Formats: sequence, structure tokens, C-alpha cells
Amino acid sequence: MTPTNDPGGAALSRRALLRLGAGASLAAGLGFGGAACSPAGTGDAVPSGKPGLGGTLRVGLYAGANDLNPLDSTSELTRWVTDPVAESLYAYDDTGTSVPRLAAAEPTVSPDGLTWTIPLKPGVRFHNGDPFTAEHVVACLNYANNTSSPSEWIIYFFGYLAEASAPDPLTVRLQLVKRYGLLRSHLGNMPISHKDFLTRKDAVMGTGPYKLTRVTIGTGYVLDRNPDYHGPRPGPDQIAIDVIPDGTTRTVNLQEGKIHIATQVPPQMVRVLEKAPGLAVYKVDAPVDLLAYPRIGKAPFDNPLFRQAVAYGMDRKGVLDTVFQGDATIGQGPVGPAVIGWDPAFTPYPVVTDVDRARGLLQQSGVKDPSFTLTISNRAEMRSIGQLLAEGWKKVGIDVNIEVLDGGPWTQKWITGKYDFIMGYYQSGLGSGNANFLTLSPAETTNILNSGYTNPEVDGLIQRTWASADPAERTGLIKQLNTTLVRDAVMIPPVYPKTVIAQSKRVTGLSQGALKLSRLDLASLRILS
Amino acid sequence: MTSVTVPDRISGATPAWRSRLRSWARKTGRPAPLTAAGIALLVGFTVLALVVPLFAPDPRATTGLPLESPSAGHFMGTDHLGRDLLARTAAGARLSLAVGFFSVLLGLVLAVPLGMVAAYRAGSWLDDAVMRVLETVQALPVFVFAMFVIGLTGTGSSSVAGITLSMSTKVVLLLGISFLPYFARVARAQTLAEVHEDYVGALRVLGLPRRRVLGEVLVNVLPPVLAQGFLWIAIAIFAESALGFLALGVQPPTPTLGGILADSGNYVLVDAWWYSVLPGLVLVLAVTGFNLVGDALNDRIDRGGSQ
Repeated sequence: MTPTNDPGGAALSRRALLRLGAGASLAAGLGFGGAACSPAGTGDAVPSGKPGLGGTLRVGLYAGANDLNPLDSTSELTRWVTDPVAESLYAYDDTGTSVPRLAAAEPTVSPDGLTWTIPLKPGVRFHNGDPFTAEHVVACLNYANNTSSPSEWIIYFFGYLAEASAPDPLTVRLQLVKRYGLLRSHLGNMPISHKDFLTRKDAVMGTGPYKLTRVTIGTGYVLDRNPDYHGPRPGPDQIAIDVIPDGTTRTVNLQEGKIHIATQVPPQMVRVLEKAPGLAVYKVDAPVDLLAYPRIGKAPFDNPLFRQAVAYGMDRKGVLDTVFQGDATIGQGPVGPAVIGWDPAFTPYPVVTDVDRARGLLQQSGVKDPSFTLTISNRAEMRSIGQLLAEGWKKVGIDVNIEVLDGGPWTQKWITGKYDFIMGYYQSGLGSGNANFLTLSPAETTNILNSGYTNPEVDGLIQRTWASADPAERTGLIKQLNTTLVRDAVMIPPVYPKTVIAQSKRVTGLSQGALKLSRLDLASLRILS
Repeated sequence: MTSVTVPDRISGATPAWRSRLRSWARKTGRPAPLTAAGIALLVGFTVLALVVPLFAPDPRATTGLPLESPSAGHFMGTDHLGRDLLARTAAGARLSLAVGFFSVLLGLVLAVPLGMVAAYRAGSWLDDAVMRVLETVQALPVFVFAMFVIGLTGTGSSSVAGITLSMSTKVVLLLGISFLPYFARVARAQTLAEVHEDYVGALRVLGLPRRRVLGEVLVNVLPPVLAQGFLWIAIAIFAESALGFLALGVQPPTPTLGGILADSGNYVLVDAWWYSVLPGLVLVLAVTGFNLVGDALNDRIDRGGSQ
């Protein structure tokens, strides 16, 4: 990039270089255009053959995980890689029911609800040959309940779990501080790792159908089949997960047959892929959240009328149609269509920006020179959402500055509360199943993610929701919570996006039941011979 | 007697075709065709950056359907959010031009005095200190430097000593500082050549203060430095776009050429060719124009110096 001032010594003059560059650009452009217009590879033909065991399944992931410890992160980037490696005590079956996996049976709960006893499955071994025993489960629970560990599970266990112990190698006993019906859900979502690997971020040791055999930082992962797996034989002999950050490149790789599954299909590519007979596109209502939290502890969002003005000024339909091409559901509050407590009839906020109502609320709020910074995560969809929303709010008279941050700095802002209005994309199903416990956390006064919102009624509802072991009661409580939080405009996502995954028909179909819980059931797939 | 023909590129002589073009330009009083093309590109880019925004719709507003192809209503089509692409490209060009101009200006204002003082005191500790510090700055690639600064200060506005710096100001400062070593080197080299000229000795003999002498030297140092600066505007425009492409520059919804290109990449396969091709072409042609005109300026200065 440094221009030289050498008039005669160079073999290639600057102008010649420019001409060469122009020629090369033209050639590259033509080449690229040609490639773009050429017939798509295997996506164009319907594959035939019988599904069989063996082979390598290739998956395109949109980013690489910084931390491969599944006890640290509930992000899909970590869990989609480690789920075939590290199993949970309980797992979801095809119908979405949680059934024993590493546990031998359902937990026994004492009459006061404070002591849980879990029998473990005998004869299970970790990939390094060590027997799976209660001490590993206890070590995982203690790690998750330790405030000095980086585990995201601290949100679920801290303040509830008093002690985990192993009365014998195949029994785990949990002593609780208070009743905690939600614990059963967490036991079904939290993976169990070998106790010696709890502090490792670059490796994971589990009991699952696959071993993590190779990690290439930022590039991909290779999982090899575990021949000593305690369950049914998984399909492919190997799963190769390639990190392909660009959505378009990911889908082109799928079309060309370089990968079998493309995760996070960009909305604009869905229609293109749907036309390819050799490909299948799944658009599933899964627990995907557009986390949308105003910082209620500081101005201007400490003013409920201002928050409502923002909620009325939101162009939800614009986001639905323009960004997601219709593959989402209009948002109202924290509870979306894929989680318990969803009420499609509850629609207090308008689909399109209600300029008059929003301006009226803004005037009533008394906020002078209304403005705020919208902090969004660095994804193409999020950048588009941010710009559309800012344009809608501008019509109302609210000036919005957009701040785009990568994952780490974004999370740091969220945790430290240094934001005005923060918005990000999150697959909550891997941590919470079909209930959005994490996304409700910022509404709880004592939670470390609290957004500054304090409402004793909400605190009481959350406590009762967490304590209840009755699914019907919990659903009713979450509905009440949602109503209150929407009314107070505490969490105001514009839409609930669908999880969109595309796959080649050269492999058997992904489990829709698993997708509805944000999971990729890769082990059950079979490659067509 | 054996004669040896030394190729132009080895001897450093000007190629015949180029000499012919130059002599044609000199005779006719017109710029060489490539220079004329460069000027035309620059004029086009400047009009796009400064005049089109006066007539174009709000570049942030949705004025059409998403991904409308070029038409009478939208000369360059619309982007994925239904915003007029011409308006956004023009706004991006204006920002690029402003960042390019001001970052180079900042670099020149700081680097030229540094380079001249270092040359005037050549071999002294001051010369060593200035040049070593600048070499350290030069060792840091501009994007690494950008990531470091933006990692520390964020992508929004920052407050420094009570002064609020917008993101575009931060980009100007960032590029201006990273350009310092290059401008300082040219200024130093030119000054070193000048201080050995007779007129400088004469000025010294006359007892003129050092400041006056440097002022006289500056007159002769500036033209080649300015020509270099002109070339660096192209680099600054490219760098600003690259920062925008990497989401390290001015943040959306403010349009930047790099930001537009980053977004457009997602729509290449849905037949929205205009979205990436047209703004990309604007960037390529602008950089080409600055390079061609800067090159011509350099040639002219070299010629002037040799005459």
C-alpha cells in the first residue's frame, strides 16, 4: 500500500500496475459472475440411495467457539460441537420429552423438595476409558455453582444448590437451599464432562457417541465415532464441522455438496435454497431470542412511558418482512412461540410503528431530546434490524445511535450493564429447553444480569416459577410474567426469528423435534450410499 | 565497436511510447490521456460526493422496496432495506472523501515539520529520536492499529479530555497518525537534498534565523510531499472503506462505501448485482482516479526538477 517514488527502477510502472489490477478485477468479476450463474452442484439433483452407517458428515457452522467447555457456555457454537461428545443426565427424545440418558431413572425427591437423589447408569465410560461415576457429576455441579468459575450455569444453580455429594459411585445427592422444581429441566440440559477437563477450554471429555479428535482454532472440528458408546450405534463414522463465517459462502458450499448441513442460513438465501430439489430447508420455531433489553436503571429508560414510546415506535413488520423475509413471528415480550407460556392472542404493541401513539407517550414522558445508543451484536441480520428500528424511532422523534460489537465485547456490556438498549441473537433452548429462563433473568432484582428493573410482583412470580415442579402451574406463571413485562416494556424484541437450517438430501432428515429445542441431532443421521 | 542496448526498465529511461505521449501532451497543452481519464474520474467522484447528496433522498430512509434493480426512480437500485443506493453511495463517497482529505492533511501537518526538523538536524539525537519513533508507528499495520484503538475506545463516539470525538473523527486521527512515517520520510529526504543547495548556504551566511531558512526550504519541499499526499488520499479512501467493511469504521446507519460492500456481499447470489457492483465500481474508479492524477503530478514534479 505504500506508494513509491522510484521513477525508473521498477519493472512495473504504477500505471501498468493499475491496468493490470483493472484487468485482474474484471477477470475476477467475470469469473465470480460466472461462478454465481453456474448450475449449483449437488443441490440441483434429487439424490437417490439407501441410508447407511459410516461416512463423514460435514456441517457448516457460522463461527468457531472461543470456549469448548460445554459447562461454560450454552451458546450453540459450543453446544453444537460438544453435544455429540458430552451427554446430560437426561436427554430429549423425538417427542421432546426428557428421558434418562446418563441417569438410570428419574430423580427421587424428598417430601420437603430439598433433597434430590439421582441414580446413575452403570457401565458407562468416558472416552479416555475412565468409568463414569457420581464424582464427575458432583464435580460438574460444583463447577457450575462456583461463582469464580466462568460457567453460565451459575445463573441456574447459585442460590439454590447448597451441596452436591456422591454417597456411592452410582448415586448423586443434591441438597437444595429452597424448593427448585426447575432443577429437573437443568439436569436435562447441562452436559456432564470428565472432572479433569472442567477447566479446559480447548477440549471436552464426555461419554457421548463421538470423541472430539481434532480442533483447528477458527477453522473447524473433527469428531470420530466412539466405538465403545453405551447407547445405539450412531450413523456417521465421522462428523467434520467446518467454520464458514459468511452465510452466502456457507449456502454455496451446501449447494456444491461440500457440506451436508448449513446452519444459520441467511434469510435472503432461503428462497434460493428452497428451489433446489436436492436440498431441504427447515424453518422451525425454536427457542431463539432477539434479546432486547433497555437499561432500566438509567435515563431515559428509567421512565416507563419512554419505554412504551419505544415499544410503540418499533417497526416490527419492517423487521419481519425485510430482514427475515417473513420467517419470524411478530414480537411482543420475552415469551415467544417456541417456549411455554406463549399466547398468540396477546398483542398489546402494534405491528407497524404507531407514530401518533409513540409521540403521545414520548410527550407524556417528559424526556427532553430523546436519544439512546442501541448496542447490537455483529451479525448481518442484527445490523439490518438496528438500522430499520432506528429509522422507525426517528419518525417518532427519538434519535438512535447504533453501536455494533463482536460477541465478547457485547457480552461484556450485557453483564456489566453498560448499555442503553442492548440487542442480540441467542439460542436459549440449549440451556433452558422449551422455557426461556435465562431471557427472563434480567427482570429479577437479584439476578446478576438484572437490567435495573425492580418489581416485587415479578420477583415473586419468578421465584414461584422456578420453585414449581408442576408444568401447568409453571406455564401459567410464565404467562403472567410475560404480561407484566410486556406492559412495563422491560423486554421488547421486535420479532421471534425461526431457526433456519438447510441440509442436503444426501443425508436423512434432521430431527424436527430436536431442532425445536435448538439441538442438531447429528448422531442419528445416515448418509445415503 | 559493439553497442549494448540497455532495456528502458533497467536503464531507468522513460519508455518510448510514454515519451511520445508526454511530448504530445506538451505540444498540445493537454494532459496525457491517462491523466485526463484520472481527472475525469476525480471530477465524477467529487460530483458524486458533493453534489449528488444535495438532490438525492435521505440515505437512511426507506424509499423503495428491498433490492429494486436500477430504474428511473432509483438510478442505482435499492439496498436490502429498500434505501436508495445512489443516495447511500453518494453519502459514503462524501464520507470517504472527507476522511481521505482530512487524514492526509493531518498527516502532512504533523509529519512535514517533523521530517524537516529531523533532516535539518541530520545525524543528531533529535533526528534519531524522531525517525525511530516514526519507524515504530510504521511497524504497526494500519488495521492492527485500528483494531487496537477501536478495541480500547469502542465503535461509538469517545470523549478525550472533555472533547467528544465522533467515529469519523477517530478514523481520521487513526489514519492520519498511521500516515505520519511515510510523509515524514519524504519530507526528510527532500529537506536533506535541499539543505545542501547553494541558496540554503547563502541564507545561512546572511545570518537568517533557522526558522526563516526552513521556511525557504519548505517552499521546495512541499510540492513533492503534496504529490505524495495526493496519492495517499487514494490509500486513505481505500483504508476507510476497508475499516467500514470490517465494521471497524463509521457505524450504521451512516453509509460508508465499505459498509455498503460488506452488506451487499450477502445478496450476490440473489441476482442483486447492482448492490455490490455499482458501489464497488465507484470505489475502484475513485482510487484509480487519485492514483492516475497523483502519478501525473509526480511526473510533472520530477520533470520540473530535472529541468
